[in-house]
Amino acid sequence: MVNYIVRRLLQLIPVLFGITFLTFMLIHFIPGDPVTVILGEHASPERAAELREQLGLNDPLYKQYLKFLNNLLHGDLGRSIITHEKVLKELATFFPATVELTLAAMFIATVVGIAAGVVAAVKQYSWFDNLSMLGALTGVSMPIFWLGLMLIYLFAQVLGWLPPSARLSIEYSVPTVTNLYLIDTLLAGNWAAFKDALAHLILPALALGTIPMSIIARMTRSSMLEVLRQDYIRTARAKGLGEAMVILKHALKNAFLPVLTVIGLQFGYLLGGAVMTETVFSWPGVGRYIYQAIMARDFPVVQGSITIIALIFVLINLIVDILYTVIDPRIRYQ
Amino acid sequence: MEKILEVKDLKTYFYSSGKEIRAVDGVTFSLNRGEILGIVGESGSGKSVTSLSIMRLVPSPPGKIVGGEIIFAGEDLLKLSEKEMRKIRGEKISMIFQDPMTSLNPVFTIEEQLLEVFRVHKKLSKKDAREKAIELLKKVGIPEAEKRLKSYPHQFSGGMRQRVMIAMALALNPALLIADEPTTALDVTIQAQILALMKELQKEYGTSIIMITHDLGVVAEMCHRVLVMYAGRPVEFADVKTLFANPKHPYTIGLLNSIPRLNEQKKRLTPIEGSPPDLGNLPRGCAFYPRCSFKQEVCSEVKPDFRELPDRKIACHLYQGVLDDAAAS
Repeated sequence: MVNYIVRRLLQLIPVLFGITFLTFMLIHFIPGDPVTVILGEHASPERAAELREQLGLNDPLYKQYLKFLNNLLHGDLGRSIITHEKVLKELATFFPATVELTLAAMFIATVVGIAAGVVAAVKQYSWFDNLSMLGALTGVSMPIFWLGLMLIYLFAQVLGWLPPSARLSIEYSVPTVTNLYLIDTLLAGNWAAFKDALAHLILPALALGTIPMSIIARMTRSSMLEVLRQDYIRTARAKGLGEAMVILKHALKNAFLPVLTVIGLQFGYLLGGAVMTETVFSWPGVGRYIYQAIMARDFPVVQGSITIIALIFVLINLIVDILYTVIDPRIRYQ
Repeated sequence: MEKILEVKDLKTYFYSSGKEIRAVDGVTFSLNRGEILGIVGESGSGKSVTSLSIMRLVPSPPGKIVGGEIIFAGEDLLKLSEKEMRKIRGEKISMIFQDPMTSLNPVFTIEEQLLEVFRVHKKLSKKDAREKAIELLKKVGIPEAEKRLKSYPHQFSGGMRQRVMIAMALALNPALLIADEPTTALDVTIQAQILALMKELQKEYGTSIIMITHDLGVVAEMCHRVLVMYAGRPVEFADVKTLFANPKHPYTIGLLNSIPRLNEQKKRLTPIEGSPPDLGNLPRGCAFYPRCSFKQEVCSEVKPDFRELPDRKIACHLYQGVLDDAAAS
C-alpha cells in the first residue's frame, strides 16, 4: 500500500509537467499580452517595449518556461503582473472561498443525492422514484447561472430570507485565520457572524451542488438497484434482519463504490473554481480569480493557479482510490 | 410423529406485463420433526419459489403468495406480520443457498456476518457471540477458526464459504433448515463433504431439513421422503425407498430412467422427450400431458388431483382407477 502511494505520488511529476507545459503554451498562444492591458491601447510603442522587457516577455518562450519551472521547483509561483502580489499569497485568500463553497455544495449534494437515490431504488417506479429522477434530470440539464439567478430572485428578492451575494455582510469583520469564514467566525467566537456567513453560503452552495447532487442521485439509484438483486441481500433477509439494516448496511456499502468515484470527480471539478456560480453570487473564489487573470493575460497567475488546482485534483483522486480499499476489501494495491 | 411443517395448497404467482405466471400452484406436503425431505424437479418446477414462500421472501412485486397455508409449529406463517416473520427467519427457520460465492456479502468479514445473527435475535454480548461463532466455525470444519473470523468471503474457497453459510444457518439451532441446492455450485468431492457435514449436523441437532435439489443422487443419499414437482405442482410424494424402487408417476419414472447407473450397459440414457411447459401458458389438463408416454384422453382435459394412495400421494389419472377401487372397498 505504501509502495502504491509512493508510486502514485511519483506519477504526479509527469502529470504536473504536462499540465504546466500545456497551460504555458495555451496562454501564450492566445493573442494579446498583459502590456496592452496594463498600459491601455493607446500607449506609446516605446513605453510598451520597455515594459515588455521589464516583465521578461521578450525572452524566447522556452526560456520563460524554464524560468517558471525553476521558480516552481523553489516553491515560487511568481508575482501577478497586474497587482504585483505574490500569486501564492493571492491564492491563499481566494482558494479558501472556493474550498468553503465546494465543501458546502458537496455536502448538500452527497447527503441529498444518496438519500434520494436509495429511496428511489428501494421504491422503484413509485411516485417518489419518478419525481426524484425527473428532478435529477432537470438538475443536470439546467444552466447553473440561470438556476443561481432564480434562487436569488426567489430567496433573496421575493422572500428575503437569504442574502443574494458575497460571503459576509459588511457590518461583520472577523480576523482571518483559515479564510474559511465558517471556521474563522467560530474561532472568533462571533456567533452572529457565523450565522451570517452560513446564510451567505446557502444559495451559492445549492446552485453549485445541484449538478453533482443529480449525478450522485442517479448513480446511487442504479447502483442500489444492481446490489439489491444480489444473493447476499437475500441472505441478509433470510437471517431475519430488518429492512433498514438490509438496505443501509448490506446494500449501501456495496453500492457506494461507483458513487464514491463520482463524488471524488465532482469534488475535484468544483475545487477548480465555478466561474458561473462565483460570478452570479459575487463569490470571491478562485474561479473568478483565474477568469480575470486570463482576461488580463496575467501569465504567472494563470500558470500558478492551474498548477495548484491540478495538483489538488490529482491528490483527491488518489484519496478516492485509497478509500476504495477501505470500502471494498477485495481491492488491494500492490 | 410430530409435524413441524405443513404446507397446504400453496399458491405463489408472479405477475409480469399483465401475465400471470403460476410458479407454485397448489403445493401440499408435510415435514416431520427431524426428517429430511427432498423436493426435486427440473428448473422452473417451483422448488425454489416454494422454499422462498415458506420464508416469505418471494420478491414482491412481481411475486405474490395468493393462497394456501404454511403451518409451522402450529402457526400459519402466512398470517404473521412482517415483524413477527423476521423473528422466525434465521432463528426458527433458516436457509442456505445454491451459490456460496455470491451468498455472502463481499464487503463484510465472516465475523461481522456471523455475529449479526446473534445480535439480531439474541442479546448476546460481543464476547459471548464471538465465542459461539468460533465454536460454530470449528463445528463446520473450518480450520483456525479464530483467525478466519477476520477473513472476508473472497479469501475462502467455495466449499469453505458454504461451510460458513451452514454455520450461519445453524447458529441459533433452528427447527427447520431449508437448503436450496446447497451443493449444485460445488465440485463433486466438495459436494460429498458438504452433504456429509449436513447429515452429521442434522443428527446432532435433530434439525428438520428441506433439501431442494435436482440431483436424485443427493435425494437418495440424504432424504427420508421426497416430493417430486413439475411445472409448479406436486406430482408424487413418497418415502424415498418406495419412490426409487417403485416410481408410479410417469414423470418420476422418466426422471429415474434418465439417471446413469453403474451396473447398466446402456449405450444412451433415456431422456424425457420434449421440454417443460411455459408457466404462463400451461395446458388445461395435466401439465405433463404433452410429454407423457401414458397419456389418455382425460389427461388433456382435466387436471389430476393430488390424491392419497396407501403408500404415497400422486397426481395422475392413471391411478384414478386404483383410487376409485380403494374408495369402493
